[in-house]
Amino acid sequence: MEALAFIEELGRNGEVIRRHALNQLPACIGRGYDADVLVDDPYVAARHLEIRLTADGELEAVDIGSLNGTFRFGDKTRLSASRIHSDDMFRIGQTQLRIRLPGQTIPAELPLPQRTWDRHPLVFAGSVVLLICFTAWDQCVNTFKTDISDIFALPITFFSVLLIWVAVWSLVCRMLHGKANFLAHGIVAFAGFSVLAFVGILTDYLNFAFDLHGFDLAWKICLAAIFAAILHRHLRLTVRLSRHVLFVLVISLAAVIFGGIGGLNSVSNANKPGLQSFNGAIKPSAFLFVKGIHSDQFVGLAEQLKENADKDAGAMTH
Amino acid sequence: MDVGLTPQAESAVESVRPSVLQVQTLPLGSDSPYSYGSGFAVGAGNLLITNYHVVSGVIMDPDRYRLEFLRQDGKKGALAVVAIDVVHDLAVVRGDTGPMPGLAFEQNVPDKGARGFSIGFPQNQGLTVTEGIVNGLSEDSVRGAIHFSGPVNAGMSGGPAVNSSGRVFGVNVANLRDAQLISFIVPASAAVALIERAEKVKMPTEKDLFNDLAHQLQMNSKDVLALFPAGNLPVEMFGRFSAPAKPGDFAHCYATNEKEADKLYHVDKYGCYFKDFTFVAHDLYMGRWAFNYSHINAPDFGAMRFASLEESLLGTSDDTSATNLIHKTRWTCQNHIVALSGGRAKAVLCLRRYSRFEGLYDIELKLATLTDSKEALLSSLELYGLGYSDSMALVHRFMESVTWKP
Repeated sequence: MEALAFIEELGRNGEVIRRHALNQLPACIGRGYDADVLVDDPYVAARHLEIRLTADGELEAVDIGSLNGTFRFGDKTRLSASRIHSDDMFRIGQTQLRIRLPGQTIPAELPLPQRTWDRHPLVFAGSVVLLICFTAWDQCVNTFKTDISDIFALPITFFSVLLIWVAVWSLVCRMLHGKANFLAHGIVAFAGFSVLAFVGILTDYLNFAFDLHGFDLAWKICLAAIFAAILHRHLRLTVRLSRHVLFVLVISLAAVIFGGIGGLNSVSNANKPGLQSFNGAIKPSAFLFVKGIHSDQFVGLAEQLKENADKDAGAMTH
Repeated sequence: MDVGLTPQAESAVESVRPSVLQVQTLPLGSDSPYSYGSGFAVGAGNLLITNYHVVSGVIMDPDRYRLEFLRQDGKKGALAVVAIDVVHDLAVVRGDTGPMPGLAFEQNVPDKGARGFSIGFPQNQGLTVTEGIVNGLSEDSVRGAIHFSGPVNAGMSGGPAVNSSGRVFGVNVANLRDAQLISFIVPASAAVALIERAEKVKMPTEKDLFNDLAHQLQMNSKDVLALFPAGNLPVEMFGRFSAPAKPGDFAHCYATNEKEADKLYHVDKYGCYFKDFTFVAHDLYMGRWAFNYSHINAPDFGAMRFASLEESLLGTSDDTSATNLIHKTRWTCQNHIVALSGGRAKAVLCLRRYSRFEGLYDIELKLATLTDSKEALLSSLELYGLGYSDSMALVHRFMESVTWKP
């Protein structure tokens, strides 16, 4: 026998939880054992709503004396009887219902994900190990302190902060998406921040090796781009957004965070009138690929500093 | 009162007493003094001599301060500055003080061991005399300050220092520098020269005085840097590095060689500095320089670890003094790899200007040698309140003098 209509019970994110076929009308919706469609919601009456055919052959939903009433989705007026069409949504108690008429086209089933490496515990563990090894290497090679707690303070702090970062993403993901995706978020975070730290150190070495000047902004944009990529992966796991919205969101988030850090730095530097800012990076001389300028040239370049200071002083005395 | 003075001293002091008065700096629109000093009448009695630092408020900020005298009989009145000698910390002022006998100078520095009396008004205690022994010219001063082993209290600045026959052999200087009271006597010859100049000039405006101050600071910059010997700077060895060392008796040098058990590396320090810098305002000193070395030795370190040690020691900026932006601009810096005789080094140069003094700068040079060995020399040269071209010439000589065997 062909169904006359379908009642769909919807979950919090609008997903279909259950479908009931209505084979005969009128049909009663409620919590009672005699209801045609059983809804297990304590705020729903035993006999709450009836779907019936009108004289002219259309469907009608009639509240049959519930305490909490029946509402159209997103509307606050209590309904006693209402004509219904396909895809109309109602709320009874705390339950969302959707009416569907027969003849709906159903999308094809999704293929099962084949490559699940980005949810694999081994990949997760690998990315954690990568980050810890990297920070530990950086510490061990560069530190000249004797206290072992000084050596491990940074990797441990880094690891803890990243765990919190992953936990927050998973929580948000669980709320918005229904699934925490902890491993996937973890892989993105640990692998992503390893790359970020690596590129940060690499720029330091490049600056030193070729005695580069004026690339500070370029390096910062490069780091911001890596950070944006990390955000992009996290957001793609968390919310379903169109490609353009996602792109705009990621760029603006990265800009706000990097711009915010830069802004805070410049505010705190403004309060240090005695601050000398220069690039004092020193690496082993094996990494140095320039000959170095002559001291005459170095002294000559200072003219520019003098001009800057004179300009500053002119601005101050006016 | 003055207890225990010999009758001879008593009469010497008595003869000086009527010529001494208090010099007060007051904020405009207030009768409460901001600072005190002393002064005394000279010549025909219409000019008074005091310290520059007693009147510096009205030179630097004539819109905020005025100058008054207070005689021992309670008479008050306005004072105006006629001439200053910022380098010797002297000023000549004029005011309607009424008749005061001008004191006579003794331009020969008293013999070592001679008795001297320092007279002035410490704070609000009235005229005070302290007795001490003159120890001749201070050996570590290029300005020819007289070393006097007797108390010169704050507020006695600008008062006369007299010998037992009542003749002025110098002017008291009691100065708070870095919370330490430094006392010495400016020799009479500098005061006599300034008075001669003051008698010739017509009354200067506030602007004239400030311009004169700026000019004197410029001249002083040349004098201070000219103390460095011509030709090669004297050098000393620090491990395998050779670098400038004590350039002359005008410099004070120190060396430390401490082994710290809890550190994996060893740092020897050596430095020289110039002590006779110039007071310009209570929060502004100029004409000073210093250079310092850290000689780092860490034979057990790997190359990367050694580099990051060097980096962290270079990055330590000693600029903890809260320089407010009233006097100086912000630092502007450059950093480059430089080729010195011996090898390459990282060089950083920072510069800032004194906002009200055209042509006077603070310049700091930092040099870190880059070698393959586990030994490095970090040097810093600080030139504060000095002219640009003379300073940069010294920076250049300094860089050329840091050498090592590759």
